[in-house]
Amino acid sequence: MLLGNNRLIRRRVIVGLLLAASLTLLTLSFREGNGGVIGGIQRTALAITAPVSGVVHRVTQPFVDGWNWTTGLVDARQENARLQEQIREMGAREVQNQVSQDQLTKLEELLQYKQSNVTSDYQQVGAAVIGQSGNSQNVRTITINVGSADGIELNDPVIGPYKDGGGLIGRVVVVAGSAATVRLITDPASGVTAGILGGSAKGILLPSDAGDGLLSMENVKQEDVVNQGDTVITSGYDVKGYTSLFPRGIPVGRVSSVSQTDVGDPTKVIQVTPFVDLGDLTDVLVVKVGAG
Amino acid sequence: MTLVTDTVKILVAVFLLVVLQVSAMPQLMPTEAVPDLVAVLVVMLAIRRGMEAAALAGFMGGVLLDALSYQHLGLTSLLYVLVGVLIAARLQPAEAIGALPSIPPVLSHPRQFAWVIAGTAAVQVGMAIMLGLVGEGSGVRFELTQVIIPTVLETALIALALVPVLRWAFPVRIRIDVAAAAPA
Repeated sequence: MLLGNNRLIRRRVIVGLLLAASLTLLTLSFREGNGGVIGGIQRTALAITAPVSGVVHRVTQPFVDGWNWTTGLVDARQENARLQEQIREMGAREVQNQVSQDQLTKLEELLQYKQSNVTSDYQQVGAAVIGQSGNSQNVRTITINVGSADGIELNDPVIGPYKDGGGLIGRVVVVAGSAATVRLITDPASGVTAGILGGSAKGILLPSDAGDGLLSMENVKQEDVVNQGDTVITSGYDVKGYTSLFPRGIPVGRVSSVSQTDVGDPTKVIQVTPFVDLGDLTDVLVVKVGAG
Repeated sequence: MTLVTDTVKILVAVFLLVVLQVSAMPQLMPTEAVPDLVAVLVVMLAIRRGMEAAALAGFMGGVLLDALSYQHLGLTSLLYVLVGVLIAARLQPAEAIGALPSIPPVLSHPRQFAWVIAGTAAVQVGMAIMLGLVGEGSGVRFELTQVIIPTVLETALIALALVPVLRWAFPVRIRIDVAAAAPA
């Protein structure tokens, strides 16, 4: 019976300590944010897992490419028969070439952005995405394979590829030696001061409440003219107390709709669709704002 | 010695499953859901090793996942620990109230699988509720259709392969000391 009692006490102590530790960490993370002890744990976790994550990423990437290519075929049903025939004719090498071409296209989009004049004053570093949290539609953070050893600093903006170049996807929030965590612009805690390209309207881009991967541009004055299809860019200056962490002029998304608000409301809300598909990120560009 | 070996095995399993969950699964899964591999481990340990092992794995896995996903640290670990403890208590009620433990519960493979699914669902529902409480939820409909149900289904799919591996890694163990101390 003594053994049983001892074991029971040990169990209660272990479980109690683990529950207390979880609650303590939770309390600290709310009180301290991501600095202090919490930041240290995050950096340590990133540093420990990054090397293995990088290896896992490299191992799984061929399977992913193969899967993406195959599902691409399924989606293009009307071309399916022709493509199947093409596969037989072209063989595996051509399949690989097609996969490489897709990746090359994305890298060219990033290169096109890099050579544009928006952030050309800053050094920019290419990075591969080696991890992500959440589901594709509500991905909140990604892990990239560059860190402080590559000159990456906290709050550096991160750019993702789309067909016309590059678009803002988020900013660096945790930096370890060879990896970094990026908080995406669709994270509930994210906020970006933004404006309309060629217009005077400005506001704050926040994630849509619906969690559907869209953004809401809030605090836009009623008298400001905003049309569907307008391009939204980072404003580069403070709006309503929100300090801008991004250089001016980085494309973010396109206006998908302008909501009507109550009569007398001095502001209106604008729905914005991000340029970059945040659920399908493989390569990104980090703008080293700190490095100037 | 067995305790040390078991602890090392649990920590290695947690590390590997967290890395797979964060790095490989988002890429490999055909849908948008990411299976909860750590929840599978926690439930299997609750079934085969009891409360302490499940709580330890849940805590370590949760802290790692929270740190890597830049989420509120402690949130996921709290849910994992609670789910692990509750399932272990439910399956081994004699141990939970302090009587001498017997051998681990003999559950059929389908019942083990069902507990894995139930545990995963509990973690996902708990996470949605907690995020809602701190103002970071995405709405009931979105959480249900885009997060909870797809995640549980994908976890079930992966569990078909993962559960046998975990059964092999953590075989049923009978405590000789307890058996010796048990009343006749």
